[in-house]
Amino acid sequence: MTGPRRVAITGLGAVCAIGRNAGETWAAMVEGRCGIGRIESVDVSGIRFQNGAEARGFDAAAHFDPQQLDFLDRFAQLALVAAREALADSGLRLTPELAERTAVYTGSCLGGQSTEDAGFADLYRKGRSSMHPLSVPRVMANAGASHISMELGLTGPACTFSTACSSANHAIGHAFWLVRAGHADLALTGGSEAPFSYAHLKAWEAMRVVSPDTCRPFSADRRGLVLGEGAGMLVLEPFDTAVARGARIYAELAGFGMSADAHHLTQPSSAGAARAMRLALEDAGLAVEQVGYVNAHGTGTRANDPSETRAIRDVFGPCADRVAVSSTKSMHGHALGAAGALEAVATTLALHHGTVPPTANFTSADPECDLDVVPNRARVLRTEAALSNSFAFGGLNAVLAFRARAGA
Amino acid sequence: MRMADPLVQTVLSAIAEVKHVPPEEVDLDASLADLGLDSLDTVTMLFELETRLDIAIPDEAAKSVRTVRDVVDGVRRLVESSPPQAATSAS
Repeated sequence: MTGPRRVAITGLGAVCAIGRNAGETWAAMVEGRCGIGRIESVDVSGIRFQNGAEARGFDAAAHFDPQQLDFLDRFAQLALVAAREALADSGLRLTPELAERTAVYTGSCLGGQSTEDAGFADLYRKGRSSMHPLSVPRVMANAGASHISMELGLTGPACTFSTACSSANHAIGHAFWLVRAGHADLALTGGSEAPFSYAHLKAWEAMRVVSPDTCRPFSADRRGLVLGEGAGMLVLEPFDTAVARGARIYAELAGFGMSADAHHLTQPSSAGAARAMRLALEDAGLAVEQVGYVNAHGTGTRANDPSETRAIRDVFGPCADRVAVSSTKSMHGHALGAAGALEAVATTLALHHGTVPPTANFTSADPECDLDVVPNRARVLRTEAALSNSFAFGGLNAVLAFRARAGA
Repeated sequence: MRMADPLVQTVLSAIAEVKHVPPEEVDLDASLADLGLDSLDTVTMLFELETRLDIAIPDEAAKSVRTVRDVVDGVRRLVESSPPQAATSAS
């Protein structure tokens, strides 16, 4: 073989506020349906914001028996369900040889924080003298990856990335490099998050970046982000292998770029974001002229959206006026360590179907966010390539580049 | 005059604590930006004031403060409109 391998995306899984699987999630995105509503899993009467994007359609009992659930925090449940879906969707039959060459790379910002929150409440408030013995294995951030590998018998490299809002993109990008370089012949990769607990919501309240109503990325009257939960998973395999077995190839994962702002803990730097986008394009061998869609980080905060706009303008130059940019966080919320994974599913399907999802809840343009943000309605758009941005608190940026199957 | 107003003292000392400087170095007429408070310092300072004065500062009010005096004025309105025990702790 000459040169690095091409990497195909052949399986998708998703669960979030707008769908119980990738198909439902995509259908909701095309409709521009917003999954944000009053938080039901936590008593939010004492919190300044009341809305979130909960995966209400997710029924754990339909996926796991009670014995399994004892071992699984909600974030690991979501990871497993999305991973099962992605693997089934790929049509792959795992042999012992392939299982040993299969990587499981997941992202999670918070791990099993709701298990931790409940355990601490019991200890400090109810005066219990001990923590549940399963607390540690339920809370560990790699629980998702570990349960996926155990259930599916995947014995290749497995690890978890925790880089706040970029966790899933870092996981997917590294899994992509692993498959491209030939260190693994298959990867199940993505991220999952379950951020709804009282203490965690109080922590976000104190940061004063959560919207009291809904998420309106790029709108002049945007009021902040809205937390979401869910998981997204992708199956990555060498392009030639996928073609040889007659697999459905949704798109190619073509490039990955990372950077650190080295600037501020919470204020984004457009220079760092731009650098990660440039590196992803370079890694993919793509020119900006080939990119028709950017799935934005697009949190809907005062700080992110203008900074991301400047970064896109910096990278795309005159092409910035003809690239479609949307934030699907307007529909599935900001799923933190799962955000990049849900957005990778969205970007993959956008290329596959030739339709870009909209920025929902859009009201009026902000001169500082003067891009084509695909307001409120999905758009038929066949394009050669797309980017998906994730920019984390702490200034850690991770950008994925995708290439459409057409012409492959 | 500065010394006479405990609410001013509370605000100055909250800012001083966040920036790790002596309270006398915090000028009542300075902007938060001049004092080197960025967005993260500002939410931390507001958290200090909420804790010390037993008040809740709404997000919209938090976004509108630019100067130390804005903080004092905003906090005074909240303290004066809160239940008696909160007002007591500030006086």
